[in-house]
Amino acid sequence: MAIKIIAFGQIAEITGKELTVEASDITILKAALQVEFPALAEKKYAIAVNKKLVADNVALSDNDTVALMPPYSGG
Amino acid sequence: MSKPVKNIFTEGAISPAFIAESIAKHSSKKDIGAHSIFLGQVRADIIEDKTVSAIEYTTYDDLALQKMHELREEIFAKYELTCMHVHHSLGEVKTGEICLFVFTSSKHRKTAINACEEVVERIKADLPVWGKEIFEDESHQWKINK
Repeated sequence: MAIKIIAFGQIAEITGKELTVEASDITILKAALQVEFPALAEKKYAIAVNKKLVADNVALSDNDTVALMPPYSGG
Repeated sequence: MSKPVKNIFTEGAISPAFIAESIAKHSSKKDIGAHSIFLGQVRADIIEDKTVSAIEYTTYDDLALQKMHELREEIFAKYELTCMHVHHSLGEVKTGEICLFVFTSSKHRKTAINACEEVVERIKADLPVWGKEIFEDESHQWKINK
């Protein structure tokens, strides 16, 4: 399944702002990203699937959008 | 009926004139007895001999605005507010300029003050917004909220 990824903040500096990855769930997606971008291993980031924060592994479907979000620093 | 999701983001700094205008607009609301205002200003931190000259803000706006919408509903359910306004900068804001404006109004001061404080803390903790601290030599580091 082709999953659209959008990245923010310092994560985007590693991965670029947008990319596509083949993955069927979040665990597989994170593993695939880490192979492509080894620098991600030491970074903390939260994940949102279709604009909803997810804490655990969830299955992904075609055309899902996954956001990679480093710790927030607004204000 | 659910309320529409409001935009809180402004490109660049929030001007003192806009803040003054915002205060003035409330003079017609005669049930208000107290306003509480928080203004966040970009600080010229010095890190390893380099001075911050600006912060560049980015956001995941769809998620940030949804989160802010939920926070607004929660705050109105918890505190007896007359109104509440939130403005957050995006893009570059230079040191000394205002990047966050939170404005709560109520009949009495404690309600306005407590609501304002909670909103500011929650914005910093819960909204997907990122600040990139840009130094005078154009290098940068990512801001960390304390």
